[in-house]
Amino acid sequence: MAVASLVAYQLKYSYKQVPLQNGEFDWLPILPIQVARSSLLTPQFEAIIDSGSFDCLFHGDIARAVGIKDITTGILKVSGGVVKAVKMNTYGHDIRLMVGADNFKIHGYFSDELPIACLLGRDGFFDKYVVTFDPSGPSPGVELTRVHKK
Amino acid sequence: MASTTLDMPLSRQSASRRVELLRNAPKDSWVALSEDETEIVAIGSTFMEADAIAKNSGAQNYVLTRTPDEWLSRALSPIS
Repeated sequence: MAVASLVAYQLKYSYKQVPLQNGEFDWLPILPIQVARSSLLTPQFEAIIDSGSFDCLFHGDIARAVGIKDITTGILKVSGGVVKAVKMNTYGHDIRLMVGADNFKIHGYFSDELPIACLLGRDGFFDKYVVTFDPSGPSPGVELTRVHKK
Repeated sequence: MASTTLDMPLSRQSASRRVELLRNAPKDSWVALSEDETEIVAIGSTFMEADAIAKNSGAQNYVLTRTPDEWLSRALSPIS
């Protein structure tokens, strides 16, 4: 059976600059997002779109802001990086991800070891949007096309 | 022949005020940036602390971000 898809709308965001060592800087696809759970909603915070990440990963503080007092009550998943022997315990919880006017339920993973606020990965983000990166032009940007798959 | 770098618009080569603010902010902290990213409206050791300080300052439409322990070119991409 063919997969039916319905394109809802498109969102465009400019890349943002982040510092690097030695006075240098990089451009990254960063989105302002919010997380909700029950009646609690976070303020906007920055998330990096990262196709290399399997899951959507959040710093543990985000969980506490939506009432998850102990992140370790969630489902444990050990996440490894590209560097050998570097592993991170993450804990899964159901949350609602808010991107612009769009919102949907995902299973997000939380860790206090994450050095940044959030990575938006394949399960929970890339399965909701067609993501087009364009870092080449004078205004590097990323385009999101929401797709509802049945 | 002109190099690629020279052909790039100045905006691509120039670090923004945002970079300067983040570089000088405390490491391992939460920072609330103003909507136009020209000032830091709050700094906190936790997400909720930075949010509360930003709210109490009267700031609106700020965005929180986290400064890492070190500004590195990271291979983010965790693999589950």
